[in-house]
Amino acid sequence: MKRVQAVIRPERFDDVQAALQAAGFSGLMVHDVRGHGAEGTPTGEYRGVAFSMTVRHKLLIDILVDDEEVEVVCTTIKAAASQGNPGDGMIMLLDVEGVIPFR
Amino acid sequence: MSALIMWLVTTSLLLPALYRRQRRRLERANGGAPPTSKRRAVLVFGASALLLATGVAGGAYAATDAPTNLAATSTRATNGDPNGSATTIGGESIVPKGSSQKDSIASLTEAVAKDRTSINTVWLMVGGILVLFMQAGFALLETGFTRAKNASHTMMMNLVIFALGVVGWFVCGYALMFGATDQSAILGMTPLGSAVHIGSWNLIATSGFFLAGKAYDTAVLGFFFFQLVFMDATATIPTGAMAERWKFKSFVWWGLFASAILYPIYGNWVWGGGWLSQLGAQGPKWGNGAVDFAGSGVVHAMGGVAAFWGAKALGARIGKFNPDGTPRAIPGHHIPMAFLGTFILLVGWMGFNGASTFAGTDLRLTVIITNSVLSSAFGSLAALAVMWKKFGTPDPSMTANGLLAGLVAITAPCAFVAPWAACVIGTIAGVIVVYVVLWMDHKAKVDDPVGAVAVHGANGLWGVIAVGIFADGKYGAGLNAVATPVKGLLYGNAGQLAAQVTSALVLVGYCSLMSIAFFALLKKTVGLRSDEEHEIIGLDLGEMGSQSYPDFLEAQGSVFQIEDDVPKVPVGAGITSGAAALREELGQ
Repeated sequence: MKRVQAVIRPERFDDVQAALQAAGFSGLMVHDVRGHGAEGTPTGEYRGVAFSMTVRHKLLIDILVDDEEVEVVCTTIKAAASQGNPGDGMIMLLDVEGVIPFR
Repeated sequence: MSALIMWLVTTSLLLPALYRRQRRRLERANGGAPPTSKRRAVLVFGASALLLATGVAGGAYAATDAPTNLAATSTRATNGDPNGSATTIGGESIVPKGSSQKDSIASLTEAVAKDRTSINTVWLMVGGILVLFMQAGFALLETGFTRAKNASHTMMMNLVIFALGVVGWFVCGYALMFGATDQSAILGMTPLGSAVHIGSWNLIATSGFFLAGKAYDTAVLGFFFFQLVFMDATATIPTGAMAERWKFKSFVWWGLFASAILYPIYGNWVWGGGWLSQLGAQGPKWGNGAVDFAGSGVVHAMGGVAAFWGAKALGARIGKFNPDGTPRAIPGHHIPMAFLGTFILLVGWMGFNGASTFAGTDLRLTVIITNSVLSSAFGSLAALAVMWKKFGTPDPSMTANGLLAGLVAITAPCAFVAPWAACVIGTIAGVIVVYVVLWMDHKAKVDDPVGAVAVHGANGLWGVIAVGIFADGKYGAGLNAVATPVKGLLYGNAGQLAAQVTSALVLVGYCSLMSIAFFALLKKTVGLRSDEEHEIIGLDLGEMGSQSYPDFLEAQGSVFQIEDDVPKVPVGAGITSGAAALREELGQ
């Protein structure tokens, strides 16, 4: 079992979620995260003083899938979230030793 | 009546037409006739028939009844009174009648005088209530421009300053400032008492403490309330400049000091018949003496100058300046909140300036309100233009400051200048506010999170001086016991400018002296600044004991650049290593 963690731009979330749903993956977790990667540091201006926006708002999507489903999920997310620009996001794959669901 | 009948008949005819149209639309949408709803059809045609019947019956009634009606009573009873010209109610004159002609004239005179006083008092109260709402504007503006971790603290200062101000004003503020005034004869108000004076120069008034004795009077209390809300504006201005680091215990003393001592003394000199206002009637005989229509100086510059010395005594917020002294941006946490505050201030300002006539019968109030609006618009546009040109973006918070700067600057001259001059005054105010904010950050190194010094201090002084330049001699005859109207330098009276500059210099000198001494005393006794630890975790948790936004984690600290100031947690502390350990922890 794998934990697929995808960092995406917040504005791509609707598309990514719809694509995953269409591909048959309905369960996911979403986290609000802040960070920065390859996209560089934009400069803001507040009352005449410049400041750098070093961290930006992103979403982190968490999905648990079986090993054979990993490729489909990754392709789906990438296709829906990528716009061809730096800072679009990335996908991390983590091994999951087991899941203990409860209700 | 006939309009109502027309409406009834038209509606009754329109209803079935609308119903048919909707059915056709449904037909098109469904590609076939929709199932007919019998109940709805009955409802529509029933309502239509009812309306038609009412209309026809009403028309028949009006046709038979109208002529006798018209003959019997005034036009009001049958046709309404769209122009407000009726002077009778049910055939009776609203003016009381006497038994003889002489009696009638006497009672008429009395009624007119009473109405005049009532109109003036009501306008004063409406204006005062508008100004009271400006407290909400200040609170939202200041809180929006500061960080989430200090939001409750900033809001608390704005709320508590109101209450403290009322106390100080009630105890002695009003008595010191207006205890000797008779400028409100327009309200039917009797002077309360005399002033402390040197020769013929009045220094301070001394009657009306605790609103006792003669002060228990409708006009005096109305005037007390109106002046109270102005004082509260002054008292609340420094809470913006000193926000996010002012120890609450220390702030409480400021509220009492400002309302009971600092504000009333200078206020008396200009508004309470004191020596600055006498400069026109005696001594150098400069124009009408120091003139400040609604308080650019008395209210705003007083608050702004005190805010400067307060912020200087406090020192900058942690993280505001780099080690090399260059400023860092600490963005406010809620710009829409600050903008709502700005709009509320704009609306409140119409009462601030407009009702400073003290008289609804003084129609100059339309000129005043229009001038105020013009100046605020030009002020915001000027600030927007300067920021856009200088930094490449139309900075939202500075544009809001520019709007307020225009209002502050027009507050003193609003009644005395022509509309074109209001535009010029506002434009200059918008430029001043930007450069003073930049000067505060880059040169003076005084940290003012909301721009209070630039908006209220610098532009308050500009407004006072602007009277001496632009006053056009159309208004203010009799003001400060000088028979001629207020006329500025551009209209050939340099004396007025001399009086204005003198009052501005006296204000800066007096307010600086008092504020420096007061803040130094506070520093020595209760302390001025919050604990460093409290400032870092936020004054909400540190001093108020609760957060403003407990549901939002990010509200606990700024995400921008301030991380140097946050105590570091050792890396790895408290982290369970691996899923196995986690399971062990869970007992599996």
